Amino acid sequence: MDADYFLLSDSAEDLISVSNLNTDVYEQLVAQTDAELAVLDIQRMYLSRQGDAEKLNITYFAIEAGSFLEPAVTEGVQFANSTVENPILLDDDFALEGIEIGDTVLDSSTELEFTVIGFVEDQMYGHTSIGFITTDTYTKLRTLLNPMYEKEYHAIAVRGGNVENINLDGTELVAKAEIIENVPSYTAEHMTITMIVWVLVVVSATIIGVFYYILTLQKRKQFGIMKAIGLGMGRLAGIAASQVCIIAACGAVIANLLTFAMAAALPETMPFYLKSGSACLVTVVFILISIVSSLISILNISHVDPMKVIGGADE
Amino acid sequence: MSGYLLQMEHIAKSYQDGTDKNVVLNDISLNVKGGEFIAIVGPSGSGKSTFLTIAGMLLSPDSGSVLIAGKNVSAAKKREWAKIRQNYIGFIFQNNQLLPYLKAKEQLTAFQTKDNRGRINIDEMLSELDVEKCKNQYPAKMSGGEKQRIAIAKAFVNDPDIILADEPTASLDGARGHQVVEMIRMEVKKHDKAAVMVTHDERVLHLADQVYHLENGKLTQ
Repeated sequence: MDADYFLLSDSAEDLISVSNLNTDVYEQLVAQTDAELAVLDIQRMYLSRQGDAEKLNITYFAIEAGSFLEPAVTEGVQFANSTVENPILLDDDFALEGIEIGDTVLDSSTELEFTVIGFVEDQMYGHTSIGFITTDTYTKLRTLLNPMYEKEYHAIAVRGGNVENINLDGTELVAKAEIIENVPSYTAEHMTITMIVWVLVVVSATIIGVFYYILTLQKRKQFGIMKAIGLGMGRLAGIAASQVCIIAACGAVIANLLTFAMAAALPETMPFYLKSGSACLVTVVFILISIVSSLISILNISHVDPMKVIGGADE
Repeated sequence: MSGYLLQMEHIAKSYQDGTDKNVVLNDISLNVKGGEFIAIVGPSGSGKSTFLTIAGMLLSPDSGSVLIAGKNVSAAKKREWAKIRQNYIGFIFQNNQLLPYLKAKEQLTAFQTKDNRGRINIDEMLSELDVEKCKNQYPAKMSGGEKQRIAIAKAFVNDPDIILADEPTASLDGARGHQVVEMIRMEVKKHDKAAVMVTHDERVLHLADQVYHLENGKLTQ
């Protein structure tokens, strides 16, 4: 979603799907900002193919044809180039379900027919794939559900421009990041996953430290000899830290290769995106923690008494 | 310059043993010239090791002073000791104490400091000690005698003033032990070092220029 802010009703608690704005809010908003605006309605429903009883989860994003919320198609045509009645742009996950361009799909509850005019990439909302429809189609859909339906918007997306003067009663302007955090279950899931990732990073880095410590204990005598022949503690600490660093770096390289290979091998419908930025962050933190954990080994080496090498060196 | 490379003057060292004071070294003095090879013998527990650790700047004496090449090193701060050991003292340890994960030549090059590079020709030394063929072997592949000869070369890499050998013949049979001590003597003479060997191997004593007995804290000739 290429928006900076969303205008919602202030009772919506940052949830687009429970917000509602009167159509005249749009006109008022135009007077208050020079930013680009686009209306948006979100409705979670079921979709089925014609002649097929199987229901597929879908979230409709109803937008004005040609607004900046309309994603570029990877296959097929945009709304503006389509002449069919009730066009729909589907997330390409639906293509994997066997739906093709030109197919007719049905909204399960209203049996309203849509014609698939194209596919878009990576469009998901709260675990369901998105189907983009036009606001007109959406109005038809809502009217079928409730004949008393009066046109309204869930939200208005705002992009660029000056937003400081926006001040409408009963509405609030919410940043995109906040909207994402409030998508149902998003924050809870992300916190858990992030926590698991960091716990694993700390644990694996500590394991390197512990193993290196055991190696150090076994090599105490050799460190004693090196100290006896005059190697300074600085050099020995450098050796230990650089060895841990090499081990950690090798581990990180292997781990990254495996992770990226796995990401490439995962089925396309699985929304798993590996960002190189976060991989870098995890790698750097992992190596840093490893080096910190090598400090216990270095401390141990510093306590080795080189004097013991003479005479009592028989073990 | 007195010509002595190692001078130990009135060294005393005692340990607290329960309520008793155990005097290990009692006013010991020893002077060793360059090219001189000294052996110290004594029963176990006589303080040979304590003597060697004091000479080797690993332990400070209760009183007395150690001079290496005329310089009073026992006055140096403890943090400078490592540097002194590295530059002025060559150690030959009991049971060779080579690092298992370095090849023979690496054992030497890894510990040669930048400043001392070139002062001792490592390849020449290895061939003198007749271990040239082991150059690229790990200690695990070498015989005990070969390992100890590498250890001798290792003591010389930084061209130190004094060589301290702690039971160099331990774990070697008679012939090999004899050969090893002969080689220590050869290198000491060639490079003009002051060498002190602590041993209780009577068979190699005739190779030393002088033999001292350490008993009851006293050093006697």
